[in-house]
Amino acid sequence: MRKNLRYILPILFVFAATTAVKAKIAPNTSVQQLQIQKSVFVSGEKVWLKNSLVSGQYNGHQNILFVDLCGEGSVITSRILLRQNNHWQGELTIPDSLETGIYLLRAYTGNYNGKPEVTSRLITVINRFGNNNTNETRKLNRNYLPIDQSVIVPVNEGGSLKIYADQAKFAPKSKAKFWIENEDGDYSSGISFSVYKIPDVAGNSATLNLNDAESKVVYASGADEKIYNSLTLSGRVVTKDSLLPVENETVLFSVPDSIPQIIYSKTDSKGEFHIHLDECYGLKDAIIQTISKDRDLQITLFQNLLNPPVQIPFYIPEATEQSEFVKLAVQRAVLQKVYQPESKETEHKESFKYPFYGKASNVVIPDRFFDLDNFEEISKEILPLSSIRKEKDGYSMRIFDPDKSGFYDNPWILVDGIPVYDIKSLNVLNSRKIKRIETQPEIRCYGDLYLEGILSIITYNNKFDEVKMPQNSIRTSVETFSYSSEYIGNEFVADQSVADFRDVLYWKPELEPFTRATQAEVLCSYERGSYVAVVQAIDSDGKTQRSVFKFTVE
Amino acid sequence: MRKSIISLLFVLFSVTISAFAVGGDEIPKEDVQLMGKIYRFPTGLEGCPYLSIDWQQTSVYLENGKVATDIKGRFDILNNDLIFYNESLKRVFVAEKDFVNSFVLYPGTPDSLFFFKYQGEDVGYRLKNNDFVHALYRGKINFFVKHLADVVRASNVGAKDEIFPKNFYFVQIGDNTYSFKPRYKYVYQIFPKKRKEIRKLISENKIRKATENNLKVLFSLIEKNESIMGAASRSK
Repeated sequence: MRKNLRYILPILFVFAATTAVKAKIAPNTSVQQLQIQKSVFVSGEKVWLKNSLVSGQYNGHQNILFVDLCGEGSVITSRILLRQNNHWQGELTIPDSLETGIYLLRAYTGNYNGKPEVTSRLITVINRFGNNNTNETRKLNRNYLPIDQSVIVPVNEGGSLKIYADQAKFAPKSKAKFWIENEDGDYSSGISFSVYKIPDVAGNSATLNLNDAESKVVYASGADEKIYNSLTLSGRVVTKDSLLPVENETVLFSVPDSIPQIIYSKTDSKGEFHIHLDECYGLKDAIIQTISKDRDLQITLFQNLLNPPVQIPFYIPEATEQSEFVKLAVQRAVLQKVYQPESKETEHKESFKYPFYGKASNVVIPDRFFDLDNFEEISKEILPLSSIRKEKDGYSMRIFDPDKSGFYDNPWILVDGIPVYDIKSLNVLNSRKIKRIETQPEIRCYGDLYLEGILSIITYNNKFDEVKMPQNSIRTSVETFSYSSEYIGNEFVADQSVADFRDVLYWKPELEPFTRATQAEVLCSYERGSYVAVVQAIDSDGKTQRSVFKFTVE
Repeated sequence: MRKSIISLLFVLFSVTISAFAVGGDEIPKEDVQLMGKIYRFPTGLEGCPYLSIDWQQTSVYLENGKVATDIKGRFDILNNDLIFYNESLKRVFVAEKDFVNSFVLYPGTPDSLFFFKYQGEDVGYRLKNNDFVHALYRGKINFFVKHLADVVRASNVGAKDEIFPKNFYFVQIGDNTYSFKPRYKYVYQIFPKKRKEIRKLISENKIRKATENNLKVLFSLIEKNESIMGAASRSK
């Protein structure tokens, strides 16, 4: 037995040690690598990005990446991305109206304890209509420093990746062929490949070292923000008069839709709730309400996002603004805006679609009957299982259960999927506005929700904009997961007559897996000048592996 | 000395493992919602209308990809339904079939029973599309049983209707579903031209008795044999 132990224990130890060593990064530390497709952007363009994460500990739960483009004290635009193949990829559109200046692109995810792990990059944006008020104001401030990102060209790093071509000069609209070699790399987040234009006279920035620049961005010291690793809408419910937290209150989240869905959560002792939105995509017009209507309650939502920086102490120097490279970039962006098709969404997660109360047994289409002017008439004339009753203190509704030969006095009433409780307010709906009415005349449950009969009204416009908002409710836009898109510029345009002024010839966040070497073909545009082809990855040590090949299009 | 080396190795090993487990979990967890219709307990019946008389720990795999675990469930053999006890509402509901993909009774134990929704053509009056069936073997060949019950009306005044549980076996290969009984003769009927090869498999693998377990073994062997698989008859 002792002899066996002598062999087994060292084996176990070696196994445990090698498992730990594999990541080669100290436990509880992480390295992120944020990549973008070029250095200078024009308003209206898209920032294509890839973010990779390597940790010294298990990080499989870190599935969500929050990405935003910040100005001073404001988040200009943001996206929420889902992890795929150990990295995140996506795009952010820079608003057309964004003034010339230096902005901050941030990517962050929550760690195991909900603490944010942030990486960021400064972004140079040139307003294509010449609006440079922000930059001009910053130039006057002595605490602000000039930074010229256009001259910063990536350099080779590490020795595992290699990129080369058989020539360093290509004709416009010709195909450039590159060979990419990987010596010993095991890159869990894949290898990215980008080809983009750089100034003809490039070199290292004389103004400031970019690696230090992001650390000079100033944040306000505030409360610790919590970043969850699931898409969560959090908030608090308090009584309106005394502002006391309300415990064990059910909070409903619903979005106007023709197929009603409900997500709900219960408040804890602090009155706080957390609603999981993992199934949602896009920007949602959400209505959040409490189920209790017997007293006035107040709902406040937590941000659950990082606050923007208060100061980005940089400006674009005059020489950069007036440089040929920047002027051409603006012209190109305008032309590309006209000629280049929009990037297309590549993935659309189909969600399971049934109303949360199941398939309704009774459906009435008012359009098939004569016109009725209000909902009271509709219920009286064409709804077989429900009736509205006028009472001393208002209206009430009943649903008849034909199986049980009984009535349900407290049915759920939904308008475009939003629960409403004031029956009188339904009277604004008439035959011309209602597309369909579904009745579910039986008791059902949806998790903890007890559904004693359901009447679901679906309007033609599906926006829940006719009926007044329920008591104890708020309406807000909620950003949920973004659909992923693919950079359209990678596609070959064989037609020589099509205007092609791309400055980013190729952007692929993850090349198809290959063992030792692979080839990539890139179509040059009409845009002449200097370019770089860059392959980049992050290894298990958290070190950047990068190879750069410079060439010209003449 | 040897003793201290062994204890040192133990310490080092446990430290390495625990490094992966540190960190408090403060992230709120999501509850998975089950949707159900109110269940009306059958009355005037003698016998058990469920697969098991007790509530069973159940995991329910929903069509939206989520999994509801630690549910108190029972399989209703009269109506081919999964019924569950809603702890917070303190009521029993019938799981809505449209929302359920499959479920496991006693998950994670040797006695666990996996049920899935049969997708295919109706087989007589005994098997319909979307019926919950108990999987015995799943692969290229699906071997499953449908648990149901006959109710025999009481003949005497004051007597109760009697429940007689029954099991009906089926084998599904591709789009074809065959009514089946746990006897080898029914395997030969599915593969009429491969009787000899199947017999050889039975004798070589010492599975002479046509028990459920031996049939599972036989189907797994048949699956690996392309020539037998290709010879499945089309008649049901």
